[in-house]
Parts: sequence; C-alpha cells; structure tokens
Amino acid sequence: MSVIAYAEQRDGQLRKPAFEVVRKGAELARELGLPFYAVLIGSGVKGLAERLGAYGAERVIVVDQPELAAFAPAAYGRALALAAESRNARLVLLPATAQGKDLAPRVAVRLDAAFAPDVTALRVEDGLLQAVRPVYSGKAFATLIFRKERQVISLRPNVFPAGTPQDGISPQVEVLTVSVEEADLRAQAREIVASAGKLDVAEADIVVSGGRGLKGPENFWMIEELAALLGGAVGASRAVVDAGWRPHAEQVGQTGKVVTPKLYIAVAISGAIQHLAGMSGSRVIVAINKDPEAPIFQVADYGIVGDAFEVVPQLIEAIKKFKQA
Amino acid sequence: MKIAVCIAHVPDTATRVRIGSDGRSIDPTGVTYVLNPYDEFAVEEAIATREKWGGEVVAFCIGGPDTEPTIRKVLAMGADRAVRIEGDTEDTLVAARWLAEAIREEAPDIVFVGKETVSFNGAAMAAALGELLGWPNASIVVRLELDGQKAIYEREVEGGKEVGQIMLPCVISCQRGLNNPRLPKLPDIMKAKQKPIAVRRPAAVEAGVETVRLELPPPKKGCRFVNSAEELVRLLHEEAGVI
Ligand SMILES: Cc1cc2nc3c(=O)[nH]c(=O)nc-3n(C[C@H](O)[C@H](O)[C@H](O)COP(=O)(O)OP(=O)(O)OC[C@H]3O[C@@H](n4cnc5c(N)ncnc54)[C@H](O)[C@@H]3O)c2cc1C
Ligand SMILES: Nc1ncnc2c1ncn2[C@@H]1O[C@H](COP(=O)(O)O)[C@@H](O)[C@H]1O
Repeated sequence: MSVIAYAEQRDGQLRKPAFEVVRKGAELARELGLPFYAVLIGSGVKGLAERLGAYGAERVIVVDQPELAAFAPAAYGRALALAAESRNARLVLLPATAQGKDLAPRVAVRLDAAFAPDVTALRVEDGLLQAVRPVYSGKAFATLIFRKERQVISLRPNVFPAGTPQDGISPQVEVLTVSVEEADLRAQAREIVASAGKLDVAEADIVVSGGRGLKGPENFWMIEELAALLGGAVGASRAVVDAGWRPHAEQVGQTGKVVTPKLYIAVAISGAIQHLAGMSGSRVIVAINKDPEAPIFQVADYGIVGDAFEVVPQLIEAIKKFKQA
Repeated sequence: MKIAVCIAHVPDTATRVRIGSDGRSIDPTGVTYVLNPYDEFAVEEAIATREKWGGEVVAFCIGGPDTEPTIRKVLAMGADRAVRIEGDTEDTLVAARWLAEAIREEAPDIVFVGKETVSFNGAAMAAALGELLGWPNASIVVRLELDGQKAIYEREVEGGKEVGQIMLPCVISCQRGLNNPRLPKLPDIMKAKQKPIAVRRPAAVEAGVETVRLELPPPKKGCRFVNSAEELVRLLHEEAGVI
C-alpha cells in the first residue's frame, strides 16, 4: 500500500497547493508507515520533479505525454487513477482547486474509493483516517470516517502549511505511461486567460476586501493600494459585485469564493451571513466600519470603528512607515 | 435536445445552523429550505437551451416528499417534468450513482448541475456524474456557447479563466455569471401544479463515508477595538504576527 499526492501543475508551473498536498501526504505516509509518491501529470513536466523533493517527496511518478499538454479531466483522471493502482494506493490526496475538484471525484469513482472533498483537517487515529470538512458554507464542521479501504481526499488550499523547502533531497523519478483514449479528450482546456497578473483571492495569504460603504468603484484605489502594500489580493462583497464595481472573480462569500488567508481586512463591509461564509475561516480578521454594531465585528479579531475614507489612508501611511522601519 | 438538470433542496443561506440532538446533523426546526442558489443558474441554462434548440427539460432531485416545493419552483421556471429520487445520503458519490442511474435511463444530450450546494459544498457532482456516465464535464462554467454536438465553455480557474471545448453528451456545472435566472410568473406557477413528478426508488449503494460529528466553529475570542492605524499595524505585527 502507499500514499500518493497529485502535484498540480498548470502551464508547466507548480502552484502552492501542490506543495501543500505533497507536504501533507509525506507526513501522513510517515505516520501510517507507508511509502509516499508525488504524481506529476502533463507534457514536458518531468523537470518539475526536483522541486517536489524539497517538500518531502522522495519518489515522484511522472506521466509525461504530449496528449496531456492541456488539462482534460477524464484523461488526467485516468492517469492519476493508474498511478494510484500501480502503487496500490490506500490514500490519494489532491488540492481542492479548479483542477483538483474535477479530478478527485473521477479518481474516486475509478478506484471505488471513499471520497471527501475540500477537507481542512486530516489526522490518523489508531491507524484510521479522520477528516474534518466545513459544511453549510463554513457555518459548521463535519468530522468524517471512511468505510472503504481506499480514500480519495481533496484538501482546501491555503490551510495545510507547505513549510519551507529543504535543499538536497533529489527525488527518484519513476515514469508511467498511460494510454489516453480519444474519449478522454472530449473536454479539454485550450487556453487560460489570466486576469492581468492579479493574485487570486482564494490563493492569497492576505486579502483586503471592500464593501458598499466605499460608495463607488472610483474609491477602490484605497483597497488596491492597501492590498498591494501588503502583497495581498483585492476582494469584494456581493453588493459591490452586483453593482458592477468589481469583477465577480473577486467576490468573497457563499456565492463567491471561500478564502482562508492568514490576514483578512474587511473595509466598509457589514458582515452579512453570506459574506461570513466565505471568510470566517481566515486566521486573523480586521474590520473597519463606521457602525460599531456591524456584524462583521462579531467575527473580527481587531476592529477600528471609523470612516473608511479616513482610516484606510492612515493605515496605508502606517504600513509604509512600518516597512521603512 | 433532451436536457437534464440536477436540483438540490437546501437550507436557505441566511439559516443559523444549530446542531441536532444526535450531534451529527443539523436541527431542522425553523429552517427554511430553498432551491440551491447555484442550481438556479443550472435551471436557467437548461431552459434557455431548450428555448433555443427545442426538446425537453427533465429535473432530477434526490430527497423526500418535503422537496416538492423546490421541485415545483423548477417546474414553474420552465422544466417540463421532474424525477424525484426517494433517498437520503451524506455520501456525494452515492448521490452521484443514484443520479447517474436515473439520468442514464433518460439518455439526455446535456446535464446541468450547480457549482456546489450551499449545504454540502462538495463541488464534485459534475465530475462524478461525468465519470459514471462516461461523459466529459466542465465545472464552474461562466459562459457556454452550444453549437450542435459541441460547446465552447469558459470557466473560472485560479487567477483567470480557462476556455475550452467540450463534446456532447456532457455535464456542465454552472456558476454565477453564466446567466440571470428567471422568476416564475403566476400563470407559470399555476401550470407547474399540473406537471408530472415521477418518484423512483434508487438501488442500494454502500456509503464510503460517515459523519461522526457535526460541530459549530469554535467561538471567536471577541474583537479588540483599537483607536489608531499605527496601533493596529503594531498589533498585527507583534501580537498576531501576520505582517
Ligand atoms: C443567496 C445569497 C447569496 C449571497 N452571497 C453573497 C456572497 O457570496 N458574498 C457577499 O458578500 N454577500 C452575499 N450575499 C449578500 C449579503 O446578504 C449582503 O447583502 C452583502 O454581503 C452586503 O454587502 P456589503 O457589506 O458590502 O454592503 P452593506 O450591507 O450595505 O454594508 C455596507 C457597510 O459599510 C459600512 N459603511 C458605510 N459607509 C462607511 C464608511 N464611510 N466607512 C466605513 N464603513 C462604512 C456600513 O456601516 C455597512 O456596515 C448573498 C445574499 C444571498 C441572498
Ligand atoms: N440531493 C440532490 N438532488 C439533486 N441534485 C443534487 C443533490 N445534491 C447535489 N446535487 C447537484 O450537484 C450539484 C453540486 O453539489 P455538491 O457537489 O453536493 O456541492 C448541485 O448544485 C446540484 O446540481
């Protein structure tokens, strides 16, 4: 038996969630006393294996074929399931990213495995796995146990630490070939249109969000500047997105994105239950609102009651000063 | 064109969750159940597709007789008929098998589902159904241009949008932005009362997961109010260690 983790790459780049699942997979394998494999799928991706070593992968299975150049859920699912079967995997970990959400259920069906998506805690107790996942959009947490020998689990990004990369571990690369069928390529990505080098709210360590209290799209420069200073991403409430001030990709909440940054700053956002559903899992929450009764303060760790048009520029100055010091 | 849409009956998004006495499910007292918000996009897309290409829209819902108001709403929006699968499961793959079995019998050209439910938040159904039916899927779709036997889709991925092509039959998971769901008018609501809802009993499928505990998030220790931006920056650095 073994533990395997899907090291997601896109356009030949490994992304942070890949390191998070590799780190967690290696740790669980050690606890379970099983060998661990990271799996890379794509075309021209073999060279990425080396970097996975730095996150604890001593062995990397590489499926590197021209037909796999573009992401295709069925083809990648077939490849990952084959990798799992070839190493008799007991546990398959994936990131709960756009790719991982398409792959995990397919792999679980192929392996006839038990399946839990978007897990935020995973531990071994008496040799058995227990997973915790948020339900009701973060309003409750369910603890699950598994009733099948094999488990496929996707991990929420930004929750499991990737840790610092270590030098000097050069993983052993094992190449696997999969026969991709025409039927596996009936849905396939053609291109990815990046939103102009912007950091995605769901991936950022720091998110600064603005709400309707900012009165108009022209005032979002404050939010952008604050986010840029902190190396974070800009988020928005639904009121602001519905008004057309900001793109939907930035919406945080029940019908937007769920974010779990280490720092979330909510500016002029009331804190409706649907907004809280998207951000209440953040490690530290700061609220800036002129209404001391705003519900956002109930989930905030730090609050400033005041006018955003005064407080945010002051905060920008204070951070500039802090950075210089 | 035959079009399928999967609809879930879920607690309203404004619901305050309370844990039931069994410690592993929610207390349903006082909870209002509604059509899953994302499924409104799926239903709208299904109906708009029929309006353009002709055919029939069949809605599928797993649940007990209490789901009827949600099913009627979808019929009022314009679905032609519905299949209610009499069952209850917390395992998303069991739900997928039940839906796949019912959908296979109807042999649709395209299946629409919501991006995720606001109760289970699995976001897994499109891919699971795709694998079980042997069809391709595209998830988190915000634009779809159907052209006979294929479609161009645009979907949200981290940091941008992915554009791709998908062949029919296929499964599409619908995200906000795809369309503007219609509100049923009074005559539609009246007409929906006459539309058929078939009830089917699903095959026994062994569950792979079991919820042993349901808990509320740990309470926050309370907000610390500060008076100045400098003080906030100092606390974020020294106390919270996040900047
Ligand atoms: C099915 C459904 C799904 C939803 N999904 C989402 C979702 O995903 N995400 C989401 O965010 N919402 C969602 N909502 C909407 C949600 O209920 C709220 O309407 C929304 O979050 C409100 O946005 P807001 O806080 O920006 O605006 P408001 O509620 O109008 O709040 C504005 C806040 O700004 C403060 N303010 C005003 N002026 C200033 C100033 N000068 N300085 C400082 N503060 C000021 C006010 O005190 C107030 O608290 C959903 C609703 C439904 C029904
Ligand atoms: N009980 C159900 N009955 C019918 N469709 C469902 C049910 N549960 C989930 N779905 C469909 O699957 C989608 C994704 O749900 P989930 O993967 O559970 O988050 C929903 O938006 C629905 O379209």
